[in-house]
Amino acid sequence: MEKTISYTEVIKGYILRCAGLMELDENTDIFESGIVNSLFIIQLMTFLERDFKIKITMEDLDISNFKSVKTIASFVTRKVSRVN
Amino acid sequence: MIHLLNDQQLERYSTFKQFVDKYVSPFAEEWEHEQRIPHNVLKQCGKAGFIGGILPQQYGGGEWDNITFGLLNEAFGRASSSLTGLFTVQAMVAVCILKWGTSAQKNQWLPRISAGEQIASFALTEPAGGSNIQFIETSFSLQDDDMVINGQKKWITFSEYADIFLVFGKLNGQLPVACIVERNTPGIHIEPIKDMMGFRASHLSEITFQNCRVPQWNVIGRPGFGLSCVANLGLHYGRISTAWSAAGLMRACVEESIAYSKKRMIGKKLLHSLESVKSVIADMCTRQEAVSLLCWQASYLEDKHSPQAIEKAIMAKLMASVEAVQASGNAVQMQGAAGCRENTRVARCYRDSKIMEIIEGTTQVCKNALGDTLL
Ligand SMILES: Cc1cc2nc3c(=O)[nH]c(=O)nc-3n(C[C@H](O)[C@H](O)[C@H](O)COP(=O)(O)OP(=O)(O)OC[C@H]3O[C@@H](n4cnc5c(N)ncnc54)[C@H](O)[C@@H]3O)c2cc1C
Repeated sequence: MEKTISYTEVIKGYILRCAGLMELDENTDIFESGIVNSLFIIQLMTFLERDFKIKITMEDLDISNFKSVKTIASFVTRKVSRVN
Repeated sequence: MIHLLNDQQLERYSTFKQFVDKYVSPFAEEWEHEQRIPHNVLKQCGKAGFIGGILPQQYGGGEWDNITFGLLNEAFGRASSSLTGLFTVQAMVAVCILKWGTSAQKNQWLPRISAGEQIASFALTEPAGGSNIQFIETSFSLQDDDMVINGQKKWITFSEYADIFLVFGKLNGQLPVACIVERNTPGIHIEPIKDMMGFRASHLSEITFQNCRVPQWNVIGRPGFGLSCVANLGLHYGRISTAWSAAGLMRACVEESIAYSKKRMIGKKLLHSLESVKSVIADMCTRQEAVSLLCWQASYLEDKHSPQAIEKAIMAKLMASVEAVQASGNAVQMQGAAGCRENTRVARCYRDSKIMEIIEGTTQVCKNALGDTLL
């Protein structure tokens, strides 16, 4: 649980920096809401791979994994637990 | 930029330059004139390990870093933008398969691309427009276990030769999809496009897919991610490649201008003794160095797997292509009428540089993307 919280903060911080925002609800759909552009998903994936030492592959290509801060954090939690 | 390279990068750069001096520079003009690069040259590049350089060893690659990949493009870009276009598109397709393919797909296609046995094309642009990729119309529909493809692609580099095409379209008109189509698939018609102003030996063509049936197995990544993840990754590598290639073209312009200014007499003086000429050359060299540094930065960040590599590659491609147009304009200007002959190196640079402002996102599209990212 603690880990999920820190993942959430790191991910939220990254998206806030990239989108130039001050606040972001953890449930907001970042793509539907238009706060990030179409290039962002590969930037985000690179960030997740680098900072959480995971590998995102074809099997992970499910938009629900990347929709919001919350779903991204739980995706990372699952991936990290599989790596360890 | 040279002082930023490590010993291995320097060594490989020197190998690329030697290859170019021997096998590319003496023939580049003839290839442009004939609008074709002999097939054996492509094979030779494969054999030398230049096509699959960035791929892992298990797929026949050289495990190069991205700076080395850039140096390859720079070295070849100095002599032939058309041939460099080969490395651009092979890398674009290969990285998409490497990142988003299944292990069976990687084993199927990557070793052959790497060896130069199979030429790949990146088929995204359509006759109705290339800038806004969201609007592509090529249709995919699922019938039994096959994808049935209908649509048209245009301006596709090396597609006249290609054995496989990475084709982008929409599944049921909605979900963006990327799929490998083999050349021998029934329903493909390939019409070569000749007489482009630049990149004349890049074997462009227009491709029509008419009820073209390929196994669903050939889909790269998952439907829904064909543009956001697959095409965008390919275009990102395309921008790194084109930026370095433009830096190489600028180097050619600098070399040509210095050499010409040292032999051309203006009255009783050599051209290079004129203050205005010194100023132009100083400017060209400085800009070439600045462009090289931006290229180096983009590749360096890619090697560090930094998310910032995406925007830095756009910056590098944007500036490199615009500056290449400027540099080649200066190089033609310095040679006066002699530089206006179609078969001179500077005239070729002038024509090729303009194309660099159009491929992998036009100058305007790159600025829009950067604006969106930065603001
Ligand atoms: C030599 C060469 C090789 C190529 N190789 C390939 C290849 O291998 N694969 C492939 O898929 N494609 C390839 N292309 C196509 C290339 O990617 C497209 O030409 C490019 O994306 C531009 O699309 P377009 O030509 O349809 O121009 P359009 O999209 O019609 O654009 C026309 C003009 O409008 C401007 N414009 C468009 N949208 C905007 C906007 N939102 N804001 C401001 N200005 C805008 C553009 O900058 C341009 O100046 C190649 C092209 C050339 C010339």
